[in-house]
Amino acid sequence: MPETKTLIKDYVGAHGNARSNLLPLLQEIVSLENFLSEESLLEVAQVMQLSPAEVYGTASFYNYLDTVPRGKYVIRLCRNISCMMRSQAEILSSLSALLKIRVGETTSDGQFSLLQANCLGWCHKAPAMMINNEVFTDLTPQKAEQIIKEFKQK
Amino acid sequence: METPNPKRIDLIFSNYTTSKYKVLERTLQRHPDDIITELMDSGLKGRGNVGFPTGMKWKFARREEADAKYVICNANESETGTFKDREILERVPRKVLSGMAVCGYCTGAKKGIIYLRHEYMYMKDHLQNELNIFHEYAGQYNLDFRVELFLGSGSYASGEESALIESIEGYRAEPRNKPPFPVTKGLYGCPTVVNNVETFATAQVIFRIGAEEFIKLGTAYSSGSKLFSISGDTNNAGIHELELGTTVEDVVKEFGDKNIKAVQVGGASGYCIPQRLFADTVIGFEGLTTGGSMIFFNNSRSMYKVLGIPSLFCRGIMRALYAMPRGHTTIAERY
Repeated sequence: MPETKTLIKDYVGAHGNARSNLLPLLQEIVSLENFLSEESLLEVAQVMQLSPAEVYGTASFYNYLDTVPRGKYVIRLCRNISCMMRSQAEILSSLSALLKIRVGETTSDGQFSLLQANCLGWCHKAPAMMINNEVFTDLTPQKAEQIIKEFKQK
Repeated sequence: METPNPKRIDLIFSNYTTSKYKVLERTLQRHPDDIITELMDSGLKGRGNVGFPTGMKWKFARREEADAKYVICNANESETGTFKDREILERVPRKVLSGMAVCGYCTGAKKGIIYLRHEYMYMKDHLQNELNIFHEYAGQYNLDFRVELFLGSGSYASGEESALIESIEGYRAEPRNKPPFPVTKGLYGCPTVVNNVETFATAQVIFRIGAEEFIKLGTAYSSGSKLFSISGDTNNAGIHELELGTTVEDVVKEFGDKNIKAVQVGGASGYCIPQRLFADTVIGFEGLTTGGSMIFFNNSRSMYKVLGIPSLFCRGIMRALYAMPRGHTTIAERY
């Protein structure tokens, strides 16, 4: 949190507190902390001179501005039609078994969160998933497990 | 002579040079009115989905008097089954930037913004690098036009132009009531042109080959060609550029597996076309308008399951869509 406080102060110091800086600032906090805590949102509201409800209301609208704690690596498995047609469900269950968590949960060591996402835009290489901002396509259960194992060693 | 149907075209990804901005340099020699007239003659309509005439949009923004105007490239491609804009930005970003720059030149806008969906964050550095190169050329051509990247945070609704503007301004991406339209009051209350990635790239194609060549393709009401994102039960999944005005049947014959029984055209807020309607369904602004998403389903698929997926998705976004031009009726009727 002290780090986040500094980030907020520095960001607003450099760019000003115009409303159009709100989303870029929230994005910076998410890349630092993986989610937006209540403390962070309150701090943003104070520094940007907005009401906390305004800040929370804006943040909670967007899928990638999480307001609940997430792991260091957020896995987002695409759940769209083309991915579903190519055995997305099998990949979901193998990831779930490997990490011992269900969709929406985070591993107890805080390393991985498992989520599903709307169309990621890789239908021709389905099924697809993102881990943080990195994209993985043409998944099979084995390939997905291998990717997670590599992330575990990072 | 009979031409094979559907006619495959290669305009958007062809003729791409990374050494110069030739077409832009040439186009900037012309008068803005002349450029807009050519765009209107070409019949180009927005390639996002809605299909508003692009030349007219630019003309409206041009005639507004304002201290500041904006050009926004809508790269919030979120419609189910669509991935053409991602491919355009990866493979031919200079065509998009040329289209934006000419739009700036015609309308008097000095600032451009690319609204990139969060899911495409992986190409941020690639695009930033392209922007740096573009700014060097713009300087050489004495063009006062700079483009910035704005990263989305995950919102399907931002694809609607006024919602996208709300998002850049730092608010929830909820559509505004219209009128006023963005061309008169858009970003920060200033006249703003919002066009899809493919629309800007296609405008560049028109400046290169001319309106006369462009209207040889397509139909009277749907001129030119368009990119289609094809997926589902097919061995030809990927991006294909086709002439507008072809039927779903032709597309299925060319790209689908055997026994295709239905095609989802236009993603979750589009239409599911059953086999008996394939021959009579024309893809174009006189028939099915689409951002280009085509998902094929063969006999082995349960349509009950297939339709369950978009309906889940739609429930979540319905409220955000209420002000969209077509979305609200389509979704309410279908799901």
